[in-house]
Amino acid sequence: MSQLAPSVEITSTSTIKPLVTDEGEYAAIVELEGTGRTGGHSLRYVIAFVFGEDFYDRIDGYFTASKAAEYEALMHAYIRAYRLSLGELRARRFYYEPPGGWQGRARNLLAQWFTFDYPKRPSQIIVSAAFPSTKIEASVTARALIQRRLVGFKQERETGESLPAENGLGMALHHVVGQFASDPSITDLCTIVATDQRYVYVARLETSTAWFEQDRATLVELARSIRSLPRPKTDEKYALSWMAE
Amino acid sequence: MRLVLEQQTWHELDPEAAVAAELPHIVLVPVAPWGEDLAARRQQVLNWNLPPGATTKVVYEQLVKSSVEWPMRLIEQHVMRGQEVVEVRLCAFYVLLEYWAGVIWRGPLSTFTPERDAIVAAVSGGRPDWRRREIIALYQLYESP
Repeated sequence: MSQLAPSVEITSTSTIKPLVTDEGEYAAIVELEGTGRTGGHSLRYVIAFVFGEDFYDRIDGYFTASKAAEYEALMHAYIRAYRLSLGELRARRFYYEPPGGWQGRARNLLAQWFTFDYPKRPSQIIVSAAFPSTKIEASVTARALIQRRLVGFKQERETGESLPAENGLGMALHHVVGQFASDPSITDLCTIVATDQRYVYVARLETSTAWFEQDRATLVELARSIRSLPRPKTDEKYALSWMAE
Repeated sequence: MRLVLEQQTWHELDPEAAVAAELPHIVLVPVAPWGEDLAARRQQVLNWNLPPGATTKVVYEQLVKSSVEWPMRLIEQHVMRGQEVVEVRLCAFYVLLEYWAGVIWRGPLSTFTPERDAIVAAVSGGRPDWRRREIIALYQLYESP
């Protein structure tokens, strides 16, 4: 902030305020208050971010405190209407709470979460991008998604179960037990598929028998924190303004 | 992503800063993708800042596992001037998924010999630290600093 406005002393910073644009994209706003170092004017800054998958657009606004109410409302309206035009149904990152105490890394839109003692503790949770719904049952999707990973896996047994719906998402868990010839440390592959009307959300755990119960609880907790991807506004006024633009 | 050591008892330096550092010290070799000749890169790291006229001799090389079981190549190299060992370099080169990184202990033989086990344990305690380096989940975007 000091780089943005070196002549202003920032006196307060808001928390990060989440927002969803009319287009259905995630966004965030931070508001700052400051005083001009020379004139002593009270100033208000609004810094907004609209998040794409691997980029963001930033929108900055600043105005004197006396005009804050008027311009802040204008700015918030501008941010809500801001468009990235990425399309509604696509591979998208979705909101969930990462497993506490694990560390993650991103591979494009895929997130891999490891324990800090990995690979001694061979636990890994992989969260892929949500993909548009296929109208196929969650349990069938879960079973289908793991097949490619099972190449070279000597399977001993598999189970499936439905989990209670959470945040409006239906959930199915699929568990395969066995061993890879190339990596005997991994014995349990557990996939949770959550679905809503538009998207499929997938998280997969790979771990060993010794850690399975503990890691399964972590995976379920993560799955319960998944939120449906926001929908775009679909009213006529919004559609017409989009076309006019 | 960076490499971190379990034991922080050693003063860690980056390779550039190590040029003028006093011995003994530990250097962390920055994490890099595999996309280069690893053997040549290892050789380059082992031979950093060799004193003029010095020669080198690898006295130990073994593929082992780190304290948390990352694949690791442990190399003990002596820096010689004539028949005299002027420096010991104990290097642990890690394979971390599709990356590699290293830890080097450099010091005199008189310090190394009695402390070898402790020094091996120190350089074997490396692990990758991906925390807070990039945005992995939307959740992070809404965490207030």
